[in-house]
Amino acid sequence: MTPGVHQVTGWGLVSLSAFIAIYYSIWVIILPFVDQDQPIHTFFLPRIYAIAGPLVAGVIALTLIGAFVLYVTVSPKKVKKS
Amino acid sequence: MAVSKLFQWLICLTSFLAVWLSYVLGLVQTKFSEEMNEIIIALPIYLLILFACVLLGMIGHRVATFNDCELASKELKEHIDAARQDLAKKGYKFASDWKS
Amino acid sequence: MADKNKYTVLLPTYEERANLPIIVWLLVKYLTESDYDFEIIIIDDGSPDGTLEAAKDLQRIYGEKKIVLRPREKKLGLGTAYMHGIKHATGNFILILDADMSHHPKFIPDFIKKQAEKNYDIVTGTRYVGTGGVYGWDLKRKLISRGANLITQILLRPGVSDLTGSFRLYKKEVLEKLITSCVSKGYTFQIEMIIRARQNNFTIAEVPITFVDRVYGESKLGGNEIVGFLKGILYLFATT
Repeated sequence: MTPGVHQVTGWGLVSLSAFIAIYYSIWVIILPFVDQDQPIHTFFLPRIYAIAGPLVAGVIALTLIGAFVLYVTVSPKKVKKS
Repeated sequence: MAVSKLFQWLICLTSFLAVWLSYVLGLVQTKFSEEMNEIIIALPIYLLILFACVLLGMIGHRVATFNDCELASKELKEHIDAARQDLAKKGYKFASDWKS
Repeated sequence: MADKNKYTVLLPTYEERANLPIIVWLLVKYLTESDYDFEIIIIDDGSPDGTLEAAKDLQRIYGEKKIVLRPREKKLGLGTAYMHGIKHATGNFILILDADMSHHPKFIPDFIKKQAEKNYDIVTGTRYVGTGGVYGWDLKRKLISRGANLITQILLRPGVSDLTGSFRLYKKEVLEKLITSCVSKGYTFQIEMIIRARQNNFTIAEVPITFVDRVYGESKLGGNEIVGFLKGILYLFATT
């Protein structure tokens, strides 16, 4: 992969994180002040998912990380003498 | 004796959670509107997500602006050749399996 | 006016038969060009590929005052290699760098000049700031490097941009003090040195360096290393 691809990926990550931050901020902070019959609400799921979604994702992520750590600790393929 | 960073983090987190919980459980009298109430309830998870976004963005930015030093690699190759020649002149015996 | 300082370069080696003559030649070149008094202490951990013989050959060429050999019988780790080397160091400054040429001695005069600016206790090379950088890293390596560095910055707040680097200049007494208080291994060892330095209120400066990775195709960042790194960071997070 060329350094050009690295840069594209890097800036892509920046855009993605900005998008998530803005979307989530609108969802949690702005929408409560907007009437329910405004069209903007069609872009967002019911509010409960704003809290449940990240929580579930977080639990899954922690479980995966925990499993990874356990796997690496329990099965040393190369015994590296430091 | 300074406190550990873990301890500092715990103090901050528990202080924040204590304030937040006392509001959510209705232990304090407040005059917040219903919209503000909704926002405050979601505050911990919101800040967490925002924090994660900032981290992701920082990593992305730092990967994008990571300097690639092609010149340094070329220069090193030239130096290796110069070193080989000079050392050979001084009588250094290179291993037969030398690869540059 | 002649510099009254003497710089001891500590070079722990393991299977560096091909790289050793080049790195020594470069060290001699840049230290002599800038008219610094120096010595190079080679600490070989019983390399089976003949690194010690290569070192002896270099000693024959450059003299025993410039090339000092302090080998050990087997691979015993970086921290103990430094301690072993320091015992025989006659300089008042210690330079450490990798023997595989990822670190280029051409930066050493920069380190020395930077140290003199405010009599810093430690000068460390950084790949992340200014003209610093790397060559030969794929996307995965860059992501992991930046990610790990960010986690370390957030948890340990060291005030230094590049913590895992091992291209550094220490005052001799500073290095002695820090090594005895460090317990980590691997990548975390270099990080702990900086953290302990902060604890002791030592002054640290940074110099941009370029890191040229010539070891292609070898996976130096396996799951093991990552988990070991995280454990080390968490240990420092909880205890300092």
